[in-house]
Amino acid sequence: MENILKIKDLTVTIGGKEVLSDVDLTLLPGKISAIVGESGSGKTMMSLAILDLLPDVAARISGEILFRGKNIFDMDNKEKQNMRGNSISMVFQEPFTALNPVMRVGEQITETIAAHKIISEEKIQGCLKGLLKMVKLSEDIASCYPHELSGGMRQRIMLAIALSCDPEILILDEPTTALDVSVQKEILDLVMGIQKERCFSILFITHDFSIVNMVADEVHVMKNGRVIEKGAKEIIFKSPENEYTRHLIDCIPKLGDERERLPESE
Amino acid sequence: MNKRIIFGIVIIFVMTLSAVLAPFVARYDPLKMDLSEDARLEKPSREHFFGTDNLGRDVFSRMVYGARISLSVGFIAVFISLGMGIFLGGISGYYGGWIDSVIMRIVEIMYCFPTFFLIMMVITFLGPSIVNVMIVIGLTSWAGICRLVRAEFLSLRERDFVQAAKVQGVSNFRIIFRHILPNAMGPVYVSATLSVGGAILVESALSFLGLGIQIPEASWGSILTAGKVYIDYAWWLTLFPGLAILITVLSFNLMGEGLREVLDPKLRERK
Amino acid sequence: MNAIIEVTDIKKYFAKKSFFYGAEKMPVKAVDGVSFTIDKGKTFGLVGESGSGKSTIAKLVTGILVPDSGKMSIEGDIDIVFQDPFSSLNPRMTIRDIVGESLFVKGVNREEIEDKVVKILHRVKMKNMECLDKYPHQFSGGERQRIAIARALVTQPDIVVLDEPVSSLDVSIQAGILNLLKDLQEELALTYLFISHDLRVVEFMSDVVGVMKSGKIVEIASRQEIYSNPQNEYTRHLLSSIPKI
Repeated sequence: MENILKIKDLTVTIGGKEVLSDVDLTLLPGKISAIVGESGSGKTMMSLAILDLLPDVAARISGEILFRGKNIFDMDNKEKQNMRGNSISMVFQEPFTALNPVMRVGEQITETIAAHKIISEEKIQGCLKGLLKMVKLSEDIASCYPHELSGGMRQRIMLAIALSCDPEILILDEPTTALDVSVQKEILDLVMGIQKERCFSILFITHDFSIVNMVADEVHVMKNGRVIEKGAKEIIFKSPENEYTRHLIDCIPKLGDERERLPESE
Repeated sequence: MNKRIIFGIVIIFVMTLSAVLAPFVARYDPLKMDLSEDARLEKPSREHFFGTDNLGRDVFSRMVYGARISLSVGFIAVFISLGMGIFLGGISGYYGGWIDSVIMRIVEIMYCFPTFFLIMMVITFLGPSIVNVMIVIGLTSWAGICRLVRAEFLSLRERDFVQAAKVQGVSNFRIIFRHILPNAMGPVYVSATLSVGGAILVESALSFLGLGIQIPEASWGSILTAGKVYIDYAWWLTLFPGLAILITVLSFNLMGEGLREVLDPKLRERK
Repeated sequence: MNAIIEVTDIKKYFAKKSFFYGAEKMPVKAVDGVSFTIDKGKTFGLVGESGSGKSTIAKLVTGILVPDSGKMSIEGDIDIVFQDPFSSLNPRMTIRDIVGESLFVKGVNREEIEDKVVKILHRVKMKNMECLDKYPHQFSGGERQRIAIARALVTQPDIVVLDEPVSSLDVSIQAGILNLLKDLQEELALTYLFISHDLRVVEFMSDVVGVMKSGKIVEIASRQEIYSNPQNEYTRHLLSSIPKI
C-alpha cells in the first residue's frame, strides 16, 4: 500500500538539545497510527514537525517529512498553508484554550470552512449542519459560547473544525487527556466511527497505552526523542521486544488486577 | 544577567554614591555665594563643570547635594507606600470578606483623587518641607501596590502549598509572611522600582512649584525652578538638573522593566 | 469495627455570587449529604469524575473547609498530599524547610527536626540525599511527590488524605509512588482516604470504594463488590468506559 505520510531520519535540535533523533514513521491511508510515550519523549514535537510549526529560529532540522511524496520542508508558504488546513488538520489536548472565548462556536466552525473554500453562505450553513450532525451535537449548540459547553462538547466542536475541510490526515494530540473517562469513551467511539466512514488517516498521540489498545492499528513507542519500537498493535501488546515498552504496559494497574505491587523501573 | 538591570543599577549606584559622598565629590560649598560680576551665571568650564547660578554658586556642587534630597525622597516615599501597600493589600487578599471590601473602597477613593493636587493641598496645609513631601507622597501612592499585592495574595492563598501549610497547623501570620509574601514580591519589586522614579518626579514638580525643598537648600527640582528665569541665556541652569532627573527616572524604569522580565515566569524562558 | 473516621451526612454548598451583591443564585451543591466511615489501617478509595465533589471532601476532612451541616469525627492527626507537586511545594523554600516546617511550628528543636527530616526522606526513598538545601524546581515530578509525602508524614499522622496523588505523573513514575504508599501504610499503620478519578488506580489501592456523582456517594462497597458486582447504574457506566488493556 502506498503511504500518505513518510518521515525519514527526522532529527530536530532545539537550543542545543536533540528533541527528536532519527525518527522514521510511515502513515498508511485509512489507518490509525499511535505515537505513545511519556512526558519528554518528544511525541508532541512530532506533531509540530509534521505541520512545520516548530520554532524557526531555535530549531535545527535534518531529515525529511514527505506528504504524498513531497518534502514539506521544500514547500513554499502557500503550499504549506494549503496543506495545513486542507490536507492535514489537528485537534489539541485542551479544547478550552484552543477555542476563542468570545466567539460563538458555530461561527468558529464556519470561519474555517470559509477560509478554505469559496462557497456561498447557504452552502456554508449546510456544511455547518452536516458537521454538527457528524460530531453528534444538536444544531442549537452553534449559537453557544465555548464556556457554556462541557469539555466533551468543546472537544466535539474542535473535531468538527478539524474535519470541516475533509482532511486526509487528522492529528490528535492527547485529545481526551483533559476529559473524564466516560466522556473519553464517547469521543473515542465518535472519532473511530467517523474515521471508518470517511477513511482518512489518523496520527494519534497519547501517553496512555490503554487508549492505544482501543484505537490504533500501528504503534510507535517513543522515549527520549527516539522511536524505540514500532509495529502492529497486536504484536506490540502481545510480545513487545523492547524492555521499556513491556515495562510501560506492565506498570499500569489493570482492572481485576490481583497484583500486590506494580513493577518499577531500574 | 539582564542588560537593562545592569545599566539601571550602575547609574543608580553612581548617583547614590556621589550623593552619599557629596562633600568629597563636590569641589565647592553648595551654599557659598559669590556675587561678584565674573562669578555669576558662568558657563560650564573646567572650574565649574555645570557652570554657576545667578548667585555665583557652583551648579555641579548644588546638584550633588541635591541628589541627596531627590534620591532620599524617592526611596523613603516608596518605602512608606510599600509598607502600607503590602500590609493593607496582604490582609485584604488573605482574609477577604468585609476587611477586603473596606480596604478596596478606600483604594478606589484614593484612585478617584487626582493625586498630585491632593499632595499639593496637603502640603499647603502642613507647610512646605522636605519631610512632609516624603511622607505625603508615600501616603498617597500605596493604592497601586495594595491592589497588586491583593491580587497576588488572592491567587496564592488558593495554591496547594498554602493549603498544605494550613492542614499542618501553621499560623496565619507565618503563612502570610513565610509562604505567600515571598512568592508575591516579584511584581511588587518591579512596581516599587518604577515608583521610585515617579516619586522623584513628583518631588521635582513640587519643588518646581515652590512646595518642596526650601531655599537655600536644593533638590534637582528646585535648581530647575531657580534656573527657569534665566533659561534664555543660562541654559545650563535648567539642562543639567533636567538631565539628572531624566536619567535617574529612566534608570529606575529600565531596572523595573528588566526586573519584570527576569521575575515574570511568563516572559522567562522555560528551563 | 474500629472506625477512625466517621463522616455523617455532611453538606457543603458554594454560593455563586451574582453581579452586584444582589440575591444569590442557586448554590452549587459540591457535597450534598455524604456519609462514610474508614477503619483504622485501611484505605477508602473515593472515585468520581470532575465536579463530583471528591476534592471538596478532602478539604472538609482536613479542615481546610468547614461543612455547612453534618457530623465528622476523626480520631487522630490528619495530613494531606495534593495532586500537583508543582504547586503543592512552596517554590521559595528549601526541601529541609518544607519538610521540617510542621515540626518547627510545633517548637521542636533544630537537631531533632534535622534528624526527623533526614529519616523521613530516607523512608520515602529520596535517592539523592544532597536534596536538603535544594529548591522544589530542581526535582522531577516523581521526586517532588515523594517530598510532598515526606512532608505529610514527618509529624507521624494517623490518617493521610491523598487527593489525586498520581494523576499528574507518568505511568512509570506512578507505579513507584503507588508501591511506596502501600509500603508506608503497612510500616506505619496509616489510614488512607484515597481520592482519584482513575478507577484502575483506586482498585489497586483501596479496601473499600465509594463512587461519587454530583456531590453524593451513589455506591459504597468493598473493592471486590464494586469491581466485580457493581449495583449502581453509574458505577457500571464508569467501569464500562475504561479502555481495556
